[in-house]
Amino acid sequence: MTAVEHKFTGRGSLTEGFGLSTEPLPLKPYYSREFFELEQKMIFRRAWLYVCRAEELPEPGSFVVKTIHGTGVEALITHTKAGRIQAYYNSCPHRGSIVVKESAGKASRFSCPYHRWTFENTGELLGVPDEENFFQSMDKKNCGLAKIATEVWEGWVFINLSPEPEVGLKEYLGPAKDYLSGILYRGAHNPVVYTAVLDSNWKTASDAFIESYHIPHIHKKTIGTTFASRLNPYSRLIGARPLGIHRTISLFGNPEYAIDPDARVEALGSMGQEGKSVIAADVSEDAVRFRAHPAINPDRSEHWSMDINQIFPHLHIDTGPGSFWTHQFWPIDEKTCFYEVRFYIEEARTIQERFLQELFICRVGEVVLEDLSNLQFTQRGIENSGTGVMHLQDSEVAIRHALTQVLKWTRAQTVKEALA
Amino acid sequence: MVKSQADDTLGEVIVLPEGFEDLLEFVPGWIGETAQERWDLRAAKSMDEIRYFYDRILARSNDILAYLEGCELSELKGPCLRLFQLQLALAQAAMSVELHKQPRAINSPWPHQVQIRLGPAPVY
Ligand code: FES
Ligand SMILES: [Fe+2]
Repeated sequence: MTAVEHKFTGRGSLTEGFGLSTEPLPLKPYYSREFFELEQKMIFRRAWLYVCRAEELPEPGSFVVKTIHGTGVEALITHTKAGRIQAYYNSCPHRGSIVVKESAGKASRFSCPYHRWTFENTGELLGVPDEENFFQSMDKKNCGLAKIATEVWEGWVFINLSPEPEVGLKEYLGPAKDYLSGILYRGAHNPVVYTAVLDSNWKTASDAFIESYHIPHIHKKTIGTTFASRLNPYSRLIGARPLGIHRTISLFGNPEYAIDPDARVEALGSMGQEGKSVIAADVSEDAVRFRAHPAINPDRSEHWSMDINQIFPHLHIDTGPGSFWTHQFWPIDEKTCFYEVRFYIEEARTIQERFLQELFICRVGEVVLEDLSNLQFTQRGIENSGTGVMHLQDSEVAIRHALTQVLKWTRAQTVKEALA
Repeated sequence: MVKSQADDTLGEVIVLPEGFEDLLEFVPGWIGETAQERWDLRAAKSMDEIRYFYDRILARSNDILAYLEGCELSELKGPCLRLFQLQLALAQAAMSVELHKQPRAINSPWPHQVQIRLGPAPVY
């Protein structure tokens, strides 16, 4: 038996490597109203929250409006002439109206639709109709759009809803920042976007995308044979490591995977790349550079399929052989969440490429649908658990680590303490 | 005017480019303007309908791609666009025929919450 085979047949020690206990964990955080409110206050009002890629704001004047589900906040994010990306509350300092109704666009100034107060995209109040009829006590300088703390790291735009964040984004990202630094985010300007409102707690949903134990059953017909094999029938992880409050795991890929000869449309996508999907087998210079990054297939395993980098609390940055994609899980209430997945792909140049992309997005759509369809059953069961606990195996280490961080943040008095 | 992208000449509507008249029966039943529409169309059909479409389009796939090869991807319209939309719908049909062996993903509800908000560019 080779070392690799042994790894897949004996019980792994990833959980010990994380320094985590192996005890059962509580289910209450997945359905309790009280816990949801605690999370909102202690996590979503204190942590840095990823909102979008900088490519969504490509030039000065670009803006987007993002709903920060669960918090009641709508963020207007602008790209100013000075090159700064900054978020504001999309609410007029006059009497509170929404200022921008569009979800994205280009404008260097905004005019409130109610009484036409006008703002620079730097937030400053420029004009007030019938200004003379206001009172001396109103100082225009204090009547700009209210700012939301915003920081950008390598194209990832984060906001923080606390009036004065205790730590900056770099300190918050900690080891994840060094680990992921310098990845070439291919196709970052060209996402394919799927969304859904789910009947599940945000953690129930997020957990479903950070373990591979379910793949052979839930995805039996779609990706079962790409992520499992006789060597590793239960799709055990090939690696996992903590990155401070964040974490990364690497999934198994079946190197012997071959397209079923009856799958003739899928074969159109393989273009002579030994049965691998055309997107996976990209051999362009950029794809090679992307794969050369030490965080992509970090163990340089021949059994690798993809990595999941989980940024606390609600972002996953996934990397495959030639591309990256993100998942976001926004809590709405204790048993509902908003889900968004973005697959970033290079823009098609030819008819043939565009067709292959359609094939790719059809397939990932089916896989996502399989995951999401299963969630309602998980959530229903969690809510009427007789034991109140869950038993996690070694390949579910990311769930254990994620919940441990959530519990820590809900107890920690300061962010420094939560990060420790 | 073999590769005409005009919608009609002399008042006569050209639905698909010349040479693809055998695929007329799939218009408009399999024509979706977006990836989401194509997903919805396929998901609402029976396995017999899906397989019939799959077999017929797959058999003409090489011809379709060869015919459209000379076209500018960002400028498809009219008969050429419809022809391409049939080819794109083949990707949907393949999900049922090649993966699930049934119209929709196993154990998935219909209708469901998952929506493609933005498909690949150019959006066809
Ligand atoms: S509420 Fe905006 S101008 Fe009055
Ligand atoms: Fe899954």
